[in-house]
Amino acid sequence: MALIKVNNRGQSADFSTEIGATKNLIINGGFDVWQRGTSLSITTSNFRIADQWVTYPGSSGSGTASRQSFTLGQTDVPGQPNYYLRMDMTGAASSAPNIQHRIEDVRTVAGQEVTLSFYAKCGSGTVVVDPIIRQYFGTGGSPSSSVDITPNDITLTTSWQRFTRTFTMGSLSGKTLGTDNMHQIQIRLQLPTSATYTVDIAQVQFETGDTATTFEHRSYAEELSLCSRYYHTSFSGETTIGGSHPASYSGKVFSWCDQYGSSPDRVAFNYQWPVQMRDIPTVTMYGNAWTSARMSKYNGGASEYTIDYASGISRNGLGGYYDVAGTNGDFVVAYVEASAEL
Amino acid sequence: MDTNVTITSVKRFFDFDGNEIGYSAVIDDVTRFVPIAEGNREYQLIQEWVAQDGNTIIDTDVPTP
Repeated sequence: MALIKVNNRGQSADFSTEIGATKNLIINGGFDVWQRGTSLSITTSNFRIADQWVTYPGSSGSGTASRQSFTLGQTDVPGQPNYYLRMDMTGAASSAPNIQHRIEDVRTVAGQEVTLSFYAKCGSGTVVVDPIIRQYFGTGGSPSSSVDITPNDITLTTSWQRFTRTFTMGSLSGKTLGTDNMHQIQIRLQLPTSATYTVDIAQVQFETGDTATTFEHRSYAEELSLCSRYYHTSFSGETTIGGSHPASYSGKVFSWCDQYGSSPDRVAFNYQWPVQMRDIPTVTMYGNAWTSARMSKYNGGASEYTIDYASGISRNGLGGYYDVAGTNGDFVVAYVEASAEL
Repeated sequence: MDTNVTITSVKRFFDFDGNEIGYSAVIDDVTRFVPIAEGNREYQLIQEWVAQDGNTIIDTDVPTP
């Protein structure tokens, strides 16, 4: 039997041989999970791309974030990963575009030595990426100001390379959390301003210690489950809101209008999230024509009916009676998304 | 918090007993149902929005069972 060396976190030193280890504090560091769709035009700041990843295009900046597939059998990035992130910045930003990952709980690895690693390349020439690790203490009450750690810049070339930066996280001694439960660590990759470029990123890992170890591969099911604590959609197949509908009734939540002929019609609606969410989520419901705050009859084509408010929202699901005039005792359906993201 | 989000309107909703249960908010042209939850990002955005002069949350009627 092989012996496994165990560190002071109860984890083996060679994490790559473990199943279920959680050395990588990044969720979806392999860019496998894209519940909002796999090619997204970046239209606003705080724009959600791959699950757990956010981008700020910067002033006047724009572009597309997409999931790209590695060629089968390639050896530039080890471990035969499936996917990587492509950020195609087609509109030059005049200020601070960046890609962010947010790790729940600023207490995570506080005061410890940590290593950030990832593979990256650019489409042409070179692109300089400025990593910033931010300890954010939230809002409400008297939270401490954010603390930034700024490892050395990284210069991407047109070839895949692994980049690593080791540093020590700030101590929390004397710090105060906000009351909003939003404190977090932000892994920010600042991108160049006043330029257009393409950046590809894969296998992002953030771990304790002074060494970048082998990227921790989690199964899609494990990664999706971790992501679902923060975001869930009833759509299957990575459907983009407003895009083509999933096949058949896939992704629609069925309910029943039980007050035929009354005014207003009331729909009994119940739906449970696959895992308990981080906090009570914001819920958005769409009818067949992708209008928000709507339901549709199951066979009603693009017809939609207004929902005033989705009651009974909790960390576990939603449920209640909704006033949805015009459904006339019929089955009704809605697409549902829930966000408790940081 | 994100200052570039556009909130157009916010309505406050109540349960049958008249307790405030959440908001229906038009955020970046999408109507979203936002709970009363300190740790909810959109809830925080609404608090910042209503703190600005001229922004008001509209009360809806208490529903009848």
